Amino acid sequence: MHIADGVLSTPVLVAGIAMTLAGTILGLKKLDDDKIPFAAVLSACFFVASLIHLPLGPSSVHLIFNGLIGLLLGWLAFPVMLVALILQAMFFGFGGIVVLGVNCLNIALPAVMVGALLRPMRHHIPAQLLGFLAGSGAVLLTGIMVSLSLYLSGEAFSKTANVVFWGNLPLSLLEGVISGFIIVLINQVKPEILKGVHSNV
Amino acid sequence: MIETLLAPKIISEKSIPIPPKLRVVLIVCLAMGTVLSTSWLTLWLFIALVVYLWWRSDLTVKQTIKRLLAMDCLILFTVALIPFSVPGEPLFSILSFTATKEGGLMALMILFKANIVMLTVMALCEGVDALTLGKALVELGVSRRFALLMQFTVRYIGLLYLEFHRLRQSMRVRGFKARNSMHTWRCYGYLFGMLLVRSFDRADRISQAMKCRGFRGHFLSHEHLPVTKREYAHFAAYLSLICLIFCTSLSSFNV
Repeated sequence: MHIADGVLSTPVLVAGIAMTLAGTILGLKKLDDDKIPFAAVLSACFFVASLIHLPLGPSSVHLIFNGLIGLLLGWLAFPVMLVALILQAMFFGFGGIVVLGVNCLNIALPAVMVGALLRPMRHHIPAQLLGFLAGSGAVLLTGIMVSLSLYLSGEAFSKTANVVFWGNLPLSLLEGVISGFIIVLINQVKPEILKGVHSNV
Repeated sequence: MIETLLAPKIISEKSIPIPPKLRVVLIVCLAMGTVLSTSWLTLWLFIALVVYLWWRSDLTVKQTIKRLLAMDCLILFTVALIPFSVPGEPLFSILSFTATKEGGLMALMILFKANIVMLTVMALCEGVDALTLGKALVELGVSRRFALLMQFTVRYIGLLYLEFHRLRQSMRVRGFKARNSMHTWRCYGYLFGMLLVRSFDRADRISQAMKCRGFRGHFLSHEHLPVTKREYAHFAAYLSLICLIFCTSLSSFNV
Protein backbone atom coordinates (compact mmCIF):
# COMPACT_ATOMS: atom_id res chain seq x y z
CA MET A 1 0.00 0.00 0.00
CA HIS A 2 2.98 2.28 0.50
CA ILE A 3 3.89 4.38 -2.48
CA ALA A 4 7.63 5.10 -2.67
CA ASP A 5 9.27 8.45 -3.35
CA GLY A 6 9.82 9.34 -6.97
CA VAL A 7 6.68 7.67 -8.28
CA LEU A 8 3.99 10.32 -8.05
CA SER A 9 3.80 13.60 -9.95
CA THR A 10 4.31 16.93 -8.17
CA PRO A 11 0.65 18.13 -8.19
CA VAL A 12 -0.49 14.86 -6.57
CA LEU A 13 2.26 15.13 -3.95
CA VAL A 14 1.39 18.74 -3.13
CA ALA A 15 -2.33 17.98 -2.88
CA GLY A 16 -1.60 15.04 -0.58
CA ILE A 17 0.63 17.08 1.70
CA ALA A 18 -1.90 19.94 1.90
CA MET A 19 -4.85 17.69 2.71
CA THR A 20 -2.92 15.62 5.24
CA LEU A 21 -1.75 18.80 6.94
CA ALA A 22 -5.32 20.10 7.16
CA GLY A 23 -6.60 16.75 8.47
CA THR A 24 -3.82 16.50 11.03
CA ILE A 25 -4.41 20.02 12.34
CA LEU A 26 -8.12 19.28 12.65
CA GLY A 27 -7.35 15.97 14.37
CA LEU A 28 -4.88 17.52 16.81
CA LYS A 29 -7.51 20.11 17.79
CA LYS A 30 -9.78 17.27 18.89
CA LEU A 31 -6.97 15.42 20.67
CA ASP A 32 -7.20 16.33 24.37
CA ASP A 33 -4.30 15.42 26.62
CA ASP A 34 -6.54 12.74 28.18
CA LYS A 35 -7.00 11.01 24.86
CA ILE A 36 -3.31 10.85 23.92
CA PRO A 37 -2.61 7.45 25.54
CA PHE A 38 -5.62 5.89 23.77
CA ALA A 39 -4.77 7.41 20.43
CA ALA A 40 -1.20 6.18 20.90
CA VAL A 41 -2.42 2.63 21.58
CA LEU A 42 -4.27 2.59 18.28
CA SER A 43 -1.34 4.15 16.47
CA ALA A 44 0.91 1.44 17.89
CA CYS A 45 -1.67 -1.17 16.95
CA PHE A 46 -1.64 0.08 13.35
CA PHE A 47 2.14 -0.10 13.39
CA VAL A 48 2.35 -3.58 14.91
CA ALA A 49 -0.36 -4.89 12.57
CA SER A 50 1.84 -3.94 9.64
CA LEU A 51 4.54 -6.26 10.97
CA ILE A 52 2.24 -9.27 11.28
CA HIS A 53 1.57 -11.31 8.19
CA LEU A 54 -1.56 -13.43 7.79
CA PRO A 55 -2.00 -16.15 5.20
CA LEU A 56 -4.35 -15.28 2.34
CA GLY A 57 -4.50 -17.67 -0.58
CA PRO A 58 -1.01 -18.53 -1.76
CA SER A 59 0.63 -15.39 -0.31
CA SER A 60 0.47 -13.47 2.94
CA VAL A 61 -0.79 -9.97 3.68
CA HIS A 62 -0.82 -7.57 6.59
CA LEU A 63 -3.83 -5.77 7.99
CA ILE A 64 -4.26 -1.99 7.89
CA PHE A 65 -6.88 -1.42 10.61
CA ASN A 66 -7.86 1.97 9.24
CA GLY A 67 -11.56 1.12 9.37
CA LEU A 68 -11.28 0.20 13.02
CA ILE A 69 -9.31 3.35 13.83
CA GLY A 70 -11.83 5.52 12.00
CA LEU A 71 -14.67 3.86 13.88
CA LEU A 72 -13.02 4.42 17.26
CA LEU A 73 -11.28 7.76 16.73
CA GLY A 74 -12.90 9.73 13.88
CA TRP A 75 -10.78 12.71 12.86
CA LEU A 76 -8.00 11.67 15.22
CA ALA A 77 -7.18 9.06 12.56
CA PHE A 78 -5.04 11.65 10.74
CA PRO A 79 -2.46 12.37 13.47
CA VAL A 80 -2.56 8.72 14.57
CA MET A 81 -1.75 7.40 11.09
CA LEU A 82 0.79 10.14 10.42
CA VAL A 83 2.76 9.27 13.57
CA ALA A 84 2.90 5.59 12.63
CA LEU A 85 3.82 6.36 9.01
CA ILE A 86 6.60 8.77 10.04
CA LEU A 87 8.04 6.10 12.33
CA GLN A 88 7.84 3.51 9.54
CA ALA A 89 9.46 5.82 7.02
CA MET A 90 12.22 7.01 9.35
CA PHE A 91 13.19 3.73 10.96
CA PHE A 92 12.19 0.98 8.54
CA GLY A 93 12.46 2.85 5.25
CA PHE A 94 8.91 1.94 4.20
CA GLY A 95 7.40 4.53 1.88
CA GLY A 96 9.20 7.81 1.47
CA ILE A 97 9.48 11.30 2.87
CA VAL A 98 7.87 13.60 0.33
CA VAL A 99 5.18 11.03 -0.38
CA LEU A 100 4.20 10.81 3.32
CA GLY A 101 1.36 13.26 2.73
CA VAL A 102 -0.25 11.14 0.02
CA ASN A 103 0.33 7.88 1.90
CA CYS A 104 -1.25 9.29 5.04
CA LEU A 105 -4.20 10.76 3.14
CA ASN A 106 -4.84 7.46 1.35
CA ILE A 107 -5.15 5.64 4.66
CA ALA A 108 -6.59 8.26 7.00
CA LEU A 109 -9.28 9.83 4.81
CA PRO A 110 -11.09 6.48 4.28
CA ALA A 111 -10.84 5.96 8.05
CA VAL A 112 -12.51 9.31 8.73
CA MET A 113 -15.17 8.68 6.08
CA VAL A 114 -16.00 5.21 7.39
CA GLY A 115 -16.07 6.56 10.94
CA ALA A 116 -18.43 9.41 10.02
CA LEU A 117 -20.78 7.02 8.20
CA LEU A 118 -20.83 4.14 10.65
CA ARG A 119 -20.52 5.78 14.07
CA PRO A 120 -24.17 6.96 14.13
CA MET A 121 -25.28 3.44 13.17
CA ARG A 122 -23.17 1.52 15.67
CA HIS A 123 -26.03 0.69 18.03
CA HIS A 124 -28.48 -0.25 15.32
CA ILE A 125 -26.60 -2.90 13.38
CA PRO A 126 -25.02 -6.15 14.66
CA ALA A 127 -21.39 -5.88 15.80
CA GLN A 128 -20.08 -8.32 13.22
CA LEU A 129 -21.65 -6.40 10.35
CA LEU A 130 -20.42 -3.09 11.78
CA GLY A 131 -16.86 -4.40 11.91
CA PHE A 132 -17.08 -5.92 8.46
CA LEU A 133 -18.42 -2.72 6.89
CA ALA A 134 -15.81 -0.59 8.64
CA GLY A 135 -12.87 -2.85 7.82
CA SER A 136 -13.68 -3.74 4.23
CA GLY A 137 -15.10 -0.30 3.39
CA ALA A 138 -12.01 1.55 4.58
CA VAL A 139 -9.56 -0.78 2.82
CA LEU A 140 -11.63 -0.66 -0.36
CA LEU A 141 -11.56 3.15 -0.28
CA THR A 142 -7.82 3.09 0.41
CA GLY A 143 -7.30 0.87 -2.63
CA ILE A 144 -9.34 3.24 -4.77
CA MET A 145 -7.37 6.24 -3.50
CA VAL A 146 -3.99 4.56 -4.06
CA SER A 147 -5.05 3.65 -7.62
CA LEU A 148 -6.33 7.17 -8.15
CA SER A 149 -3.10 8.79 -6.98
CA LEU A 150 -1.15 6.53 -9.35
CA TYR A 151 -3.61 7.15 -12.18
CA LEU A 152 -3.47 10.94 -11.74
CA SER A 153 0.34 10.84 -11.85
CA GLY A 154 0.45 9.91 -15.50
CA GLU A 155 -0.57 7.51 -18.23
CA ALA A 156 2.44 5.31 -17.41
CA PHE A 157 0.85 4.15 -14.17
CA SER A 158 -2.60 3.28 -15.49
CA LYS A 159 -1.83 -0.44 -15.67
CA THR A 160 -0.28 -0.47 -12.21
CA ALA A 161 -3.30 1.42 -10.87
CA ASN A 162 -5.58 -1.29 -12.26
CA VAL A 163 -3.52 -4.07 -10.70
CA VAL A 164 -3.49 -2.28 -7.34
CA PHE A 165 -7.26 -1.87 -7.38
CA TRP A 166 -8.07 -5.50 -8.23
CA GLY A 167 -5.34 -6.93 -6.02
CA ASN A 168 -6.77 -4.94 -3.15
CA LEU A 169 -10.22 -6.54 -3.25
CA PRO A 170 -9.36 -9.84 -1.49
CA LEU A 171 -7.42 -7.84 1.09
CA SER A 172 -10.46 -5.70 1.72
CA LEU A 173 -12.62 -8.80 2.31
CA LEU A 174 -10.10 -10.31 4.73
CA GLU A 175 -9.78 -7.04 6.63
CA GLY A 176 -13.59 -6.89 6.84
CA VAL A 177 -13.90 -10.42 8.19
CA ILE A 178 -11.20 -9.94 10.81
CA SER A 179 -12.46 -6.47 11.83
CA GLY A 180 -15.90 -8.05 12.26
CA PHE A 181 -14.51 -10.51 14.80
CA ILE A 182 -12.53 -7.76 16.53
CA ILE A 183 -15.66 -5.65 16.99
CA VAL A 184 -17.62 -8.71 18.21
CA LEU A 185 -15.00 -9.32 20.88
CA ILE A 186 -14.75 -5.66 21.90
CA ASN A 187 -18.54 -5.44 22.04
CA GLN A 188 -18.66 -8.36 24.47
CA VAL A 189 -15.60 -7.67 26.59
CA LYS A 190 -15.41 -3.89 26.76
CA PRO A 191 -18.34 -2.28 24.94
CA GLU A 192 -17.54 1.19 26.33
CA ILE A 193 -14.64 1.46 23.86
CA LEU A 194 -17.18 1.70 21.05
CA LYS A 195 -18.80 4.72 22.67
CA GLY A 196 -15.63 6.65 21.98
CA VAL A 197 -12.30 6.63 23.74
CA HIS A 198 -12.07 8.30 27.10
CA SER A 199 -10.51 7.60 30.43
CA ASN A 200 -12.40 5.84 33.22
CA VAL A 201 -11.50 8.62 35.62
CA MET B 1 13.40 -5.47 12.96
CA ILE B 2 11.47 -3.72 15.67
CA GLU B 3 14.74 -3.21 17.59
CA THR B 4 15.77 -0.52 15.09
CA LEU B 5 12.88 1.52 16.41
CA LEU B 6 13.06 0.87 20.12
CA ALA B 7 16.75 0.74 20.95
CA PRO B 8 18.25 3.93 22.39
CA LYS B 9 20.95 5.25 20.09
CA ILE B 10 23.61 7.92 19.98
CA ILE B 11 25.04 9.66 16.97
CA SER B 12 28.55 8.37 16.37
CA GLU B 13 31.65 10.57 16.42
CA LYS B 14 32.35 9.79 12.78
CA SER B 15 28.99 11.11 11.58
CA ILE B 16 28.51 14.65 10.26
CA PRO B 17 28.27 17.11 13.18
CA ILE B 18 24.65 18.14 12.76
CA PRO B 19 22.03 17.90 15.56
CA PRO B 20 18.86 15.80 15.04
CA LYS B 21 16.50 18.70 14.33
CA LEU B 22 18.68 20.02 11.50
CA ARG B 23 19.12 16.47 10.23
CA VAL B 24 15.36 16.25 9.79
CA VAL B 25 15.43 19.47 7.75
CA LEU B 26 18.27 18.10 5.62
CA ILE B 27 16.41 14.84 5.00
CA VAL B 28 13.31 16.71 3.84
CA CYS B 29 15.33 19.04 1.57
CA LEU B 30 17.35 16.22 0.05
CA ALA B 31 14.23 14.12 -0.50
CA MET B 32 12.42 17.02 -2.14
CA GLY B 33 15.39 17.82 -4.34
CA THR B 34 15.63 14.19 -5.46
CA VAL B 35 11.92 13.77 -6.14
CA LEU B 36 11.60 17.00 -8.10
CA SER B 37 14.72 16.61 -10.25
CA THR B 38 14.33 15.14 -13.71
CA SER B 39 17.89 14.89 -15.00
CA TRP B 40 20.26 11.95 -14.62
CA LEU B 41 23.22 14.20 -13.86
CA THR B 42 21.45 15.61 -10.80
CA LEU B 43 20.54 12.16 -9.59
CA TRP B 44 24.14 10.93 -9.93
CA LEU B 45 25.37 13.95 -7.95
CA PHE B 46 22.76 13.27 -5.27
CA ILE B 47 23.90 9.65 -5.16
CA ALA B 48 27.47 10.80 -4.62
CA LEU B 49 26.38 13.05 -1.76
CA VAL B 50 24.23 10.36 -0.14
CA VAL B 51 26.94 7.73 -0.42
CA TYR B 52 29.29 10.16 1.31
CA LEU B 53 26.71 10.69 4.09
CA TRP B 54 26.29 6.93 4.33
CA TRP B 55 30.05 6.44 4.58
CA ARG B 56 30.16 8.96 7.43
CA SER B 57 27.39 7.10 9.30
CA ASP B 58 28.04 3.90 11.20
CA LEU B 59 25.93 1.65 8.96
CA THR B 60 27.49 -1.58 7.74
CA VAL B 61 27.24 -2.66 4.11
CA LYS B 62 25.26 -5.76 5.06
CA GLN B 63 22.67 -3.82 7.07
CA THR B 64 22.27 -1.25 4.34
CA ILE B 65 21.83 -3.69 1.49
CA LYS B 66 19.39 -5.79 3.49
CA ARG B 67 17.14 -2.81 4.19
CA LEU B 68 17.40 -1.37 0.69
CA LEU B 69 16.55 -4.71 -0.92
CA ALA B 70 13.51 -5.18 1.31
CA MET B 71 12.09 -1.90 0.08
CA ASP B 72 13.20 -2.40 -3.52
CA CYS B 73 11.01 -5.49 -3.80
CA LEU B 74 8.01 -3.29 -3.06
CA ILE B 75 9.08 -0.60 -5.53
CA LEU B 76 9.78 -3.15 -8.27
CA PHE B 77 6.15 -4.15 -8.07
CA THR B 78 5.10 -0.52 -8.63
CA VAL B 79 7.44 0.10 -11.55
CA ALA B 80 7.33 -3.35 -13.18
CA LEU B 81 4.49 -2.42 -15.51
CA ILE B 82 5.80 1.00 -16.55
CA PRO B 83 8.04 -0.20 -19.43
CA PHE B 84 4.94 -1.78 -20.98
CA SER B 85 2.72 1.30 -20.54
CA VAL B 86 4.93 4.08 -21.96
CA PRO B 87 4.93 4.42 -25.74
CA GLY B 88 8.31 4.63 -27.49
CA GLU B 89 11.12 2.66 -29.07
CA PRO B 90 10.49 -1.09 -28.52
CA LEU B 91 13.11 -2.89 -26.46
CA PHE B 92 11.81 -6.45 -26.02
CA SER B 93 8.45 -8.15 -25.81
CA ILE B 94 6.86 -10.78 -23.60
CA LEU B 95 3.64 -12.46 -24.78
CA SER B 96 2.70 -9.69 -27.20
CA PHE B 97 3.37 -6.96 -24.59
CA THR B 98 6.18 -4.71 -25.74
CA ALA B 99 8.54 -2.97 -23.35
CA THR B 100 9.89 0.38 -24.51
CA LYS B 101 13.22 2.06 -23.89
CA GLU B 102 11.55 5.24 -22.59
CA GLY B 103 9.45 3.24 -20.15
CA GLY B 104 12.48 1.30 -18.94
CA LEU B 105 14.42 4.49 -18.31
CA MET B 106 11.49 6.00 -16.44
CA ALA B 107 11.18 2.91 -14.23
CA LEU B 108 14.92 2.99 -13.58
CA MET B 109 14.78 6.66 -12.62
CA ILE B 110 11.99 6.00 -10.10
CA LEU B 111 14.00 3.14 -8.62
CA PHE B 112 17.02 5.44 -8.33
CA LYS B 113 15.06 8.23 -6.69
CA ALA B 114 13.43 5.92 -4.15
CA ASN B 115 16.79 4.41 -3.23
CA ILE B 116 18.44 7.80 -2.84
CA VAL B 117 15.71 8.93 -0.45
CA MET B 118 15.90 5.68 1.50
CA LEU B 119 19.65 5.83 1.82
CA THR B 120 19.42 9.47 2.94
CA VAL B 121 16.96 8.59 5.65
CA MET B 122 19.08 5.64 6.78
CA ALA B 123 22.33 7.59 6.79
CA LEU B 124 21.01 10.66 8.59
CA CYS B 125 18.70 8.83 11.01
CA GLU B 126 21.46 6.48 12.15
CA GLY B 127 21.98 7.29 15.80
CA VAL B 128 18.69 9.17 16.17
CA ASP B 129 16.14 7.19 18.18
CA ALA B 130 12.39 7.68 18.18
CA LEU B 131 12.33 9.77 21.36
CA THR B 132 15.02 12.09 20.02
CA LEU B 133 13.03 12.39 16.81
CA GLY B 134 9.97 13.46 18.81
CA LYS B 135 12.03 16.09 20.61
CA ALA B 136 13.57 17.28 17.35
CA LEU B 137 10.10 17.72 15.84
CA VAL B 138 8.99 19.88 18.80
CA GLU B 139 12.11 22.03 18.37
CA LEU B 140 11.15 22.45 14.72
CA GLY B 141 7.78 23.83 15.75
CA VAL B 142 5.59 20.73 15.41
CA SER B 143 2.66 20.66 17.83
CA ARG B 144 3.56 19.46 21.32
CA ARG B 145 0.64 17.03 21.30
CA PHE B 146 1.84 15.47 18.07
CA ALA B 147 5.29 14.84 19.52
CA LEU B 148 3.74 13.46 22.70
CA LEU B 149 1.57 11.14 20.62
CA MET B 150 4.70 9.96 18.85
CA GLN B 151 6.56 9.29 22.08
CA PHE B 152 3.64 7.37 23.57
CA THR B 153 3.24 5.42 20.34
CA VAL B 154 6.86 4.31 20.41
CA ARG B 155 6.41 3.09 23.97
CA TYR B 156 3.24 1.16 23.13
CA ILE B 157 4.69 -0.44 20.01
CA GLY B 158 7.15 -2.31 22.17
CA LEU B 159 4.47 -3.35 24.66
CA LEU B 160 1.95 -4.38 22.03
CA TYR B 161 4.49 -6.40 20.15
CA LEU B 162 5.45 -8.32 23.30
CA GLU B 163 1.79 -8.83 24.22
CA PHE B 164 1.07 -10.06 20.70
CA HIS B 165 3.84 -12.61 20.95
CA ARG B 166 2.59 -13.82 24.34
CA LEU B 167 -0.94 -14.32 23.02
CA ARG B 168 0.34 -15.87 19.81
CA GLN B 169 2.52 -18.27 21.75
CA SER B 170 -0.36 -19.40 23.93
CA MET B 171 -2.37 -20.06 20.77
CA ARG B 172 0.49 -22.10 19.35
CA VAL B 173 0.76 -24.14 22.54
CA ARG B 174 -2.89 -25.06 22.06
CA GLY B 175 -2.08 -26.35 18.59
CA PHE B 176 -3.16 -23.35 16.50
CA LYS B 177 -1.81 -23.24 12.98
CA ALA B 178 -2.52 -20.39 10.56
CA ARG B 179 -4.39 -21.61 7.47
CA ASN B 180 -6.76 -20.16 4.93
CA SER B 181 -9.87 -20.81 6.97
CA MET B 182 -12.58 -18.95 8.82
CA HIS B 183 -11.25 -20.47 12.04
CA THR B 184 -7.85 -18.83 11.52
CA TRP B 185 -9.40 -15.47 10.77
CA ARG B 186 -11.71 -15.65 13.75
CA CYS B 187 -8.76 -16.51 15.99
CA TYR B 188 -6.74 -13.61 14.62
CA GLY B 189 -9.74 -11.29 15.03
CA TYR B 190 -10.13 -12.28 18.68
CA LEU B 191 -6.35 -12.02 19.13
CA PHE B 192 -6.27 -8.43 17.85
CA GLY B 193 -9.46 -7.61 19.76
CA MET B 194 -7.94 -8.90 23.00
CA LEU B 195 -4.77 -6.98 22.24
CA LEU B 196 -6.79 -3.78 21.90
CA VAL B 197 -8.84 -4.36 25.04
CA ARG B 198 -5.76 -5.06 27.14
CA SER B 199 -3.90 -2.12 25.65
CA PHE B 200 -6.79 0.24 26.36
CA ASP B 201 -6.83 -0.88 29.98
CA ARG B 202 -3.11 -0.40 30.16
CA ALA B 203 -3.31 3.03 28.54
CA ASP B 204 -5.87 4.04 31.14
CA ARG B 205 -3.71 2.82 34.02
CA ILE B 206 -0.66 4.55 32.60
CA SER B 207 -2.41 7.87 32.11
CA GLN B 208 -3.77 7.74 35.68
CA ALA B 209 -0.36 6.86 37.08
CA MET B 210 1.21 9.70 35.15
CA LYS B 211 -1.37 12.15 36.45
CA CYS B 212 -0.63 11.02 40.00
CA ARG B 213 2.99 11.92 39.39
CA GLY B 214 2.08 15.40 38.25
CA PHE B 215 2.27 14.94 34.47
CA ARG B 216 1.09 18.12 32.78
CA GLY B 217 1.35 17.30 29.13
CA HIS B 218 5.07 17.34 28.48
CA PHE B 219 8.13 15.39 29.45
CA LEU B 220 10.87 17.18 31.33
CA SER B 221 14.26 16.91 29.75
CA HIS B 222 17.58 17.86 31.24
CA GLU B 223 19.59 17.89 28.10
CA HIS B 224 19.00 21.12 26.33
CA LEU B 225 21.91 21.46 23.97
CA PRO B 226 22.03 24.69 22.01
CA VAL B 227 23.14 24.36 18.41
CA THR B 228 26.75 25.53 18.09
CA LYS B 229 28.12 27.77 15.36
CA ARG B 230 30.11 24.86 13.95
CA GLU B 231 26.94 22.79 13.60
CA TYR B 232 25.12 25.65 11.91
CA ALA B 233 28.06 26.09 9.53
CA HIS B 234 28.00 22.40 8.57
CA PHE B 235 24.25 22.52 8.13
CA ALA B 236 24.48 25.59 5.89
CA ALA B 237 27.22 23.95 3.84
CA TYR B 238 25.22 20.77 3.23
CA LEU B 239 22.07 22.73 2.49
CA SER B 240 23.81 24.88 -0.11
CA LEU B 241 25.36 21.77 -1.62
CA ILE B 242 21.89 20.26 -2.00
CA CYS B 243 20.59 23.48 -3.59
CA LEU B 244 23.58 23.60 -5.92
CA ILE B 245 23.06 20.01 -7.04
CA PHE B 246 19.38 20.68 -7.57
CA CYS B 247 20.24 23.68 -9.76
CA THR B 248 21.91 21.33 -12.26
CA SER B 249 18.43 19.94 -12.89
CA LEU B 250 16.85 23.32 -13.68
CA SER B 251 17.90 23.26 -17.33
CA SER B 252 15.91 20.07 -17.89
CA PHE B 253 12.62 21.68 -16.82
CA ASN B 254 10.60 22.83 -19.78
CA VAL B 255 9.54 26.24 -18.57
